[in-house]
Amino acid sequence: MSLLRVRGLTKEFGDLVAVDDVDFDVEDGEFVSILGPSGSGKSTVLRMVAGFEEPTEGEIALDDVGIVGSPPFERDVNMVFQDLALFPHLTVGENIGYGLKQSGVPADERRERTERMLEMVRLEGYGDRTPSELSGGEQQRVALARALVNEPALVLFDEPLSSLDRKLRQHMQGELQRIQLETDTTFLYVTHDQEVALAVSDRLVVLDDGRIQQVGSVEELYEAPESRFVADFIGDVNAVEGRVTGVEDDTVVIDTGDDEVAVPRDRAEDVAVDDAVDVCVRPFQVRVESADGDADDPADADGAFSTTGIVRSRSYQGSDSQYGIETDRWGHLSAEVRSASFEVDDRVTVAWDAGDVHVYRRDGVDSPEEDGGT
Amino acid sequence: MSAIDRVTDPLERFTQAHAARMAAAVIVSVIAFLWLPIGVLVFMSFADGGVLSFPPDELTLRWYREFLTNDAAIDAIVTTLTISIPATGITVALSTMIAYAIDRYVFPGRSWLQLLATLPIIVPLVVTGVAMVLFFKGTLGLPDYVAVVIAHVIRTIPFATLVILPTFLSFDRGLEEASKDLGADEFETFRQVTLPNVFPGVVAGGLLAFTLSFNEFVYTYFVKGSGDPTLPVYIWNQIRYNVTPEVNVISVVFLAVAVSMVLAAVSITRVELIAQR
Repeated sequence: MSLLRVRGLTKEFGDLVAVDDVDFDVEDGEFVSILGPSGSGKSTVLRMVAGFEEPTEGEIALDDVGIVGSPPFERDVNMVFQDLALFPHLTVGENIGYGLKQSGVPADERRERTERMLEMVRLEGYGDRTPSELSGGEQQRVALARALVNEPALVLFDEPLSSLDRKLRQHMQGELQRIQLETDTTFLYVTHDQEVALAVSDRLVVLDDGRIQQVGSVEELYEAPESRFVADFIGDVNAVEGRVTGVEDDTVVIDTGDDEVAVPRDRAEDVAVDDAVDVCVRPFQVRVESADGDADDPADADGAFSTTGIVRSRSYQGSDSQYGIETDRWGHLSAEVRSASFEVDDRVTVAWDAGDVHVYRRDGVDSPEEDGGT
Repeated sequence: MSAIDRVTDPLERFTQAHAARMAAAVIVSVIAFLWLPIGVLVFMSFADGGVLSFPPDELTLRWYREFLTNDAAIDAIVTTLTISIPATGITVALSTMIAYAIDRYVFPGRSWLQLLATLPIIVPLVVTGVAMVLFFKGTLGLPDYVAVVIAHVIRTIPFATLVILPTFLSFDRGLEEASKDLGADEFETFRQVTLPNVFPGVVAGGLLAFTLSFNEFVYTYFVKGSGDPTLPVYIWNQIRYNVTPEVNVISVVFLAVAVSMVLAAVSITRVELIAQR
């Protein structure tokens, strides 16, 4: 039995379908993120779980009890808001104790539990300050403590970290994970930031245009994205246009312009002959080698895509270098390469194994941002 | 060669060269015209030898003592308060509701309500005054007291609404959601979150409404009829028939009330703005 069960959840605002037939589960003790671009309906899903929006259709069950229709103050969930929504007229301690006060916890116990929470979020001694005296990161902690002190079944997060700078955000991600483990609470986290989602979540729900694109562990989504959208959204990807020329038992033959490459069948599951497809490959799986003036020597071994190109840009990313390469066949591609060094304007060959690609049918595929590929 | 040497028109050159000093002169004279008469009035309220002898021979508190023992003046203050206090209460209640409605609800005529609530500011006082006499007394036949209180409410609502509305508009409704999320129902949320956050604005609107009502002359003069005069009307009657130094004193009292109310209003809203950061 799942802690949170969402079935057929739909929300329409007038003609706009913000959330369209969404199903997912959150298990007890999990850290699940709903990931999607802005306008994908992810915040609306969260607000329906919290009780601020009524679903047009569908079910939400918490601990197997339907909660649609019950007001937010009767639901055993607490939320960390995007703008935190700390009460400006109350002290930090009163903010944290607010929920306990509402449920009639006596003042003594309230003070004690508030103290414990301050300790948990490492803000000992801050109880008498007002929220405006705190830094952004400290305010985040107060908001988190205020949600956790009530020991809800489920804590909801509406992108609370998005206002922090990168370094503080990474630190807070770690804190979230630590606190989730310590309190043994279930977290449902909404974000557009794949970096945050990948870093903290056990499982991801990828949402686009109100519809679920894929649900799975971080590894599953990264290794086996079910659509071009997910591939694009979870990590970077290069996409090359092609056409299916043959489907065999264990391979699919794809024509990407000049020549044909056989791709393992499990890398191109939903395609048929004559489909226009995107062949997607992660930048770190792209091999770059010096072309040494031999302009036309793509190592045309079977089971590899390759072309030649010119290095257009280069940026260091710690141990790797990221290259932007203008290829002769497929336009702009990016490659992450360790232990090799090329200069801008170097002529290179670019190749990757057929076993590393994912192939998606082009029609009806939503792309979160238009890729540079031509 | 600076830019100024290239300007050939002498007037233009003069302006360029002395702009800062000219601006300062204008500002000084504007402030002088505003405050000098008031300064003289305050000064003369301590003058010994009557109204028109300037400079006075001696400074004294005599006129203040006389004011405090003048029953007619004290009655006028009481009369003013019996009108201003209920009028302020009604205005605050109505303005708060108007501000709440404009902030919270999208309804047909929302922009019209906002306009109607604030429009009376630009209608000439005399026009409204005459209209009120005709309508309240002629058409409805209301008693003087009721008519005056209504007139004061009408006079103060636009200002109070303009002061209260921003506190509602700047109030973060996410706070109400947070409160409900933490287990407080609608009423508790209003009591514990909404009210404390809009309260300073409401108080500030009330102070402003009270000050305006306390000073209100035109409507009162039209509507009031023959009953006890309010303080402004009393002053008017005094200076029409005989100018006494006591009038200076009363004016100073007015000034003190108005300035302290406005300062209180400003400080309260300031506090609230900081608290919202």
